[in-house]
Amino acid sequence: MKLKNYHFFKIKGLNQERLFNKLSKNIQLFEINRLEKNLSTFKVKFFDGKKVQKILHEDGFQIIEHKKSGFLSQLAIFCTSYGLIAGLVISVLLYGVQAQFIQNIQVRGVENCAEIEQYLKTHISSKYKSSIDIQQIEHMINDNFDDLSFISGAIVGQTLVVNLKNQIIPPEMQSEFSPIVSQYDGVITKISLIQGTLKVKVGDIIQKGQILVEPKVVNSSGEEFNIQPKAQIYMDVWFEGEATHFDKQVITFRTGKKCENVSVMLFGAEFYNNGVMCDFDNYESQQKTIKLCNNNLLPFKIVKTTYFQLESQTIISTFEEKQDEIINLAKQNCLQKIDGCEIIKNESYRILQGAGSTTVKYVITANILASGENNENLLKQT
Amino acid sequence: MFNFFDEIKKALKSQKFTEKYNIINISGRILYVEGHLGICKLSKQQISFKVKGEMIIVEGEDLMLFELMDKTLKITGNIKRVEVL
Repeated sequence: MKLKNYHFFKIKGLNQERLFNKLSKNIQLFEINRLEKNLSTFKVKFFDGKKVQKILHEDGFQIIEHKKSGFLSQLAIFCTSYGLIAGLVISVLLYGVQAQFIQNIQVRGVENCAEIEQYLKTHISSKYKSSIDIQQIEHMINDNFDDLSFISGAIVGQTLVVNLKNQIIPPEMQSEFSPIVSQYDGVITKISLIQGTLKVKVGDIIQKGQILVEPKVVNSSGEEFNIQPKAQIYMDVWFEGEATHFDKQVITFRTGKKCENVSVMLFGAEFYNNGVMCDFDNYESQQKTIKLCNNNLLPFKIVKTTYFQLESQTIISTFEEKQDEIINLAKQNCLQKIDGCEIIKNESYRILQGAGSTTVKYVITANILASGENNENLLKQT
Repeated sequence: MFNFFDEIKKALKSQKFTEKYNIINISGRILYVEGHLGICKLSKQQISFKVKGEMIIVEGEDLMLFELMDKTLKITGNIKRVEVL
């Protein structure tokens, strides 16, 4: 058995055998070593130390050396170190006392945090936590600093944390409004003004980006006020689309025949090739590279090249044969340019003859809401 | 529980001398004793102790009383001879 917590004694005295016999009646003795005739050492368990010491004194033995070892002895030393205990108690007390005060002030959420922090440092009457009234601090900040919409204070540990948010002023309050501008080129057909100053009239030709309603009004006294402009302005807008027919046209298409060349590459050098060569007269190719394995040690790559056979065909047709198809294509191209459900007022097309080609230009006149607001009202009208 | 000494005593079928003491010598390095009645001499060369009606003398080098309890003891060191007087 190895002793971890023990007392070690080195004793001097006569008739030590008698002493050991006496001690062993009640106490376990370990590692008894007779150094000289009247000098020996031994160990006892930690809790038997005091008993042994008492017996040694009673029997007139001289204790030359007495050592304690192990965690328990260290603990005993600590428990009997009154200075250390006093220091610890004082530290705990000091910590307890100073924990009752705030040491730091943190302001978050706004740009002028430093200014508010400085203000709080100079205006908080006491740093004692119990005497700090958070609500009062919040009111104090609110009274002395503008443009704040949210103030929340809290004591976290030894820090007074104040969270702030700036006031967000809506555009109406800021008196900064944008005018209504036209989104299209066209002719104004109908105006329904709600508020603002109108800058156009029915029949005017308008360009894209032109101001339709100014964000201001003038009252009967001649004073000018800024206001959010509101109006529904409808205008006729022309949309154009075209399609071209060629009298002689060469079409190239894939026949469906293909061949595939596969090679394995390593560091740019070809490692393997399946030897398949393309023997088509006309072809197009697609190349795909795949990593064979994901490690960087041997980055093998498979390069697959697929050749598709192509064939060309010359198609000769007259515009008259394809006229309806081309006009419809031009109309579809034109309709693609119209955003939503505008009222189509008129449709027309022109045929332009060229050398070996005929172009159809399709024009749609639509009545749309040009003021930039949503088209829901217009949709209801239709 | 199995006791090595009891098993030997049973095998010998004699109770006259089996109640005195037990000694076991392990490789001449450790001597375990049961039934001692107190040590008589303690030195690095010789440790002697009483048992019922007899005395045991252990001789050797660097002898140490490794453990001493009321009835048992353990001697460590280079044990040369164990003599019963």
